[in-house]
Amino acid sequence: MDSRKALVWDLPTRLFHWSLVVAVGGLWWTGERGPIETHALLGYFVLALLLFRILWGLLGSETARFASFLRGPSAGVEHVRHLLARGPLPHPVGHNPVGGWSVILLLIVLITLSVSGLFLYDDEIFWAPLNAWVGEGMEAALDRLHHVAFDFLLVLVALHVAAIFLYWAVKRANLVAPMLTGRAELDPDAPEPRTAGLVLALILAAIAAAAVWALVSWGPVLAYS
Amino acid sequence: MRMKPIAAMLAVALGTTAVGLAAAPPPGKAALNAVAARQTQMKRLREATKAINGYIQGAHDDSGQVRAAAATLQDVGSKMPHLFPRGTAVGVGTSRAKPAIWSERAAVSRRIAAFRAAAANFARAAATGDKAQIAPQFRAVGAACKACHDPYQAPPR
Repeated sequence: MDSRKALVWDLPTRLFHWSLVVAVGGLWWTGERGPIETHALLGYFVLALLLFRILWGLLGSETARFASFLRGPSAGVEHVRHLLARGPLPHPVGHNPVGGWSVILLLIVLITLSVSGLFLYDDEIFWAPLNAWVGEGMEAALDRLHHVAFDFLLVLVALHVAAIFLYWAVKRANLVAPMLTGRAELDPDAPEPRTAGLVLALILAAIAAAAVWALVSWGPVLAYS
Repeated sequence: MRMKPIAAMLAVALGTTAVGLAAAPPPGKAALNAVAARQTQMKRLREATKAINGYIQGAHDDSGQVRAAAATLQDVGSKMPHLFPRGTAVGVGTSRAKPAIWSERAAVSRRIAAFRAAAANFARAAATGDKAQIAPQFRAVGAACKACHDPYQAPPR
């Protein structure tokens, strides 16, 4: 056997991904049915996850770094040609060129949702932490943005799931297993991706959590000073 | 050339549109004013509940504001049955009132009555100044708002 399995997705990246799946599911449910307080808590959690992901994308393991998977249009076109041609794909190391940009799109939509949510009022008795920072018109605009962004998110998630399924059904490329176990087959001559340490991940996660906690706790107070 | 059927269909489409537009005049001043008046009362509820929320969360300790807010809740509650005249549904100004309000008047009336009851209970709790009594009654007021908003309030336009 020429190809061998290596660690492609580190633990922090995998934890981030699956925590997001569960949290977004919970946000959808509580967004429709309440309670709003749970929706807000999950929103703060997602905001911290996103902050962590940005930091990890700058300082973390190789396959998580934005610089490693964001490619120009020609790489994207070439990947699509591989998809449309017969036969298996070359073994990926991390996000492929098309997947990489869809990751960025998903992150942008999720950031839009969690940040806009910080400014909203639920028309009953819940004021999000930064509501006092905005006037009536801006609040209404952010409320519309929050709802439109969610529609966008549903479409993106559906595309994401469909793409993962099609990669498996058409190209026999199982992309779920590596995101669960972290391990995938590498081409014989491909180098193993460098991983950043768990200690760094914990430090960055703590920074992200502290930043969100500070924003949520002091935001309402700062509005009056 | 198949122009005749196409021309006919086009004429029918344009004709029905014209008739439709003529039959549905833009909302009159009275309807727009009624929507604005209703939203003013809802804003009073928002300010009142904000003051109460601030007291419970410890942002201020002015129990006088809580009592004043309780009076506002009851005042708006007494106006509530008259805030939904016909012709003020979604589509009129910035109205967020779903048309079902007018086809399900009995259910709406029950919800208004439930809100007024919650406001009355809250006023009694507010008179004590005791947070332990005020907080649960406040949550009950919020639940009464939600009970009507969930089925009958449209998303913001």
